Amino acid sequence: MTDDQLIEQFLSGNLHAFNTLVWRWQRPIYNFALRFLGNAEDARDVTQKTFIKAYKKLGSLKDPQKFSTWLHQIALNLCRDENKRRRKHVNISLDIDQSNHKDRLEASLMDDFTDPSAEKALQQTELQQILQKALERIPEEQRTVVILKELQGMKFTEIAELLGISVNTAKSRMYYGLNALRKILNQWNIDREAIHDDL
Amino acid sequence: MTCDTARSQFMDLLYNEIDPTARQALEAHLQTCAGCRNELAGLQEARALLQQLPQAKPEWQMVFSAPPRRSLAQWWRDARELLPRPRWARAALGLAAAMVAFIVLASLANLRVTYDAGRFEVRMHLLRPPAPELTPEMQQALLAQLRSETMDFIAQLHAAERAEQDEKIDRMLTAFARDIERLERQREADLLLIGQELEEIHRATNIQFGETSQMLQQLVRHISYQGR
Ligand SMILES: [Zn+2]
Repeated sequence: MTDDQLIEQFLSGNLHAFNTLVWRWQRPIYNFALRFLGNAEDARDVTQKTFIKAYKKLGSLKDPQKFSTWLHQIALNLCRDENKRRRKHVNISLDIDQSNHKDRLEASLMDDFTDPSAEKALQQTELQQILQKALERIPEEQRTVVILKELQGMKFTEIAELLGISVNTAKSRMYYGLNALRKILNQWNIDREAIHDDL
Repeated sequence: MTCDTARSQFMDLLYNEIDPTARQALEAHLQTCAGCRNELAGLQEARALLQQLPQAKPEWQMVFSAPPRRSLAQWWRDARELLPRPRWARAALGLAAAMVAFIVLASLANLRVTYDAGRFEVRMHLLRPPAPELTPEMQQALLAQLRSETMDFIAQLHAAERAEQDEKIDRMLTAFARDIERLERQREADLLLIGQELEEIHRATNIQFGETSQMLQQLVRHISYQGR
C-alpha cells in the first residue's frame, strides 16, 4: 500500500494505517537525525517528536504524495531546534576558551589518526566516528544537503523542494559540502585507503 | 567549456543526474584539464568515504495507540481543578468529599487507615457476618475502635495542616486519591456482600448509622473551619 493510501485510511480513523507509516519511515528519519546531530539519544527524541507532530498535523498535509518530504521537513526543523538549544548550552561553558577547545579536539584527532606507525587502514567503527565528526564540522546548510543526498538518496529536485531552495542552490551546497568534507578529511589524513579492502 | 562551467556540472555527473550531451561535453573538458580532473577525484573520494557510514537500525519501535479512557485518578485531578481556592480550602473540600466515601465505607466495614511518612495506607476488611449473640459491650467496642481509628486519621491530618505544608498535603491527597480509586474497585465487588451484611449488622447490633453521619457533619465543619 502506498503512503497516500495509508494517509487516507488514517484520516478516516484507522490508527493501524498510521503505525504502518511509522514502521516504514522510522528508520530513515532516525538516520537523518542521527547524522545531523551525531547522537543516538537526541536522534531518537527527534524521531519520536517528528512522528507525534505528524500524527497531529497529518490532516493539514495538502499533497499526500509528498509525505516523505513533509516528514523530513518536520524532522529537519526539530534537528535545527536541537542544535540551537545545544549551541546556547555550549556557548556558556566554552565561551572562555572556545578556540582552545577546538585546537585540543583537533590535536587529539590528529594524535589518533596521523601516527605514521599506525596502520593505514582504520577499524571500521573508528572510520565511521571520524566521518561523523567531519560531517558535524561542515556548515549546517551544507550538511543538510549532504545527508539528504548521500545518505537518504534523494534527488536534487526533491531536496530543493524540501528546503524551499532552487535546484542549483541545492547542487552548489552539495558541491561545497563535499569539498569541505574532503579538506577536513585530508587534514586528518583520511583518504580512500582508510576503507578496508575486505569491505 | 570553461572550468567554472565544468564545476557547475560536477554534482550532476557524480550523482548521475546529467543528460548524455552535457556528459560528453564535460568528459571532453576533463580529458584536457588536470585541475578539474583532480578536483572531481577529490569529490569522488569524499563520496566514497561518506558511503562508509552505515544505515543505523533503531533498537525501538514507535507504536501509537488510542488514548486510554479517563481513569478515576484523572477524574479526581480534573475535579480538583474545579474545587475552590485557596489551596487549603480546596484540599479541605476534597478531603471532606473523600471522607464521605470513607465514613460510609467505614460504617460498613472494618476500615483501617494509617498515616506514615507522607502516605496513607488504607486497608479494608469486611466484617465476618456478625454473630447473632453480639453483645452490647462488643457493639460499643466496635464503634469505639472505629471512632478512634478515624479520629487518629483526622489528628494526623491536622498535624500535617499545622505544619502548613501545602505541597505535602497535595502529595497526600494524590496518594489518597489513588487509595480511593483502589477502594472504588474493591467496593464494586463487595457492594453486594455489603448490602447483605448491612441488613445483618443492623438487625444484630442495632448500631445507629445516624451517629456516624452526625460525626461526619462535625468533621466537615471542623475541616472547613481549619481551612479558613
Ligand atoms: Zn577545468
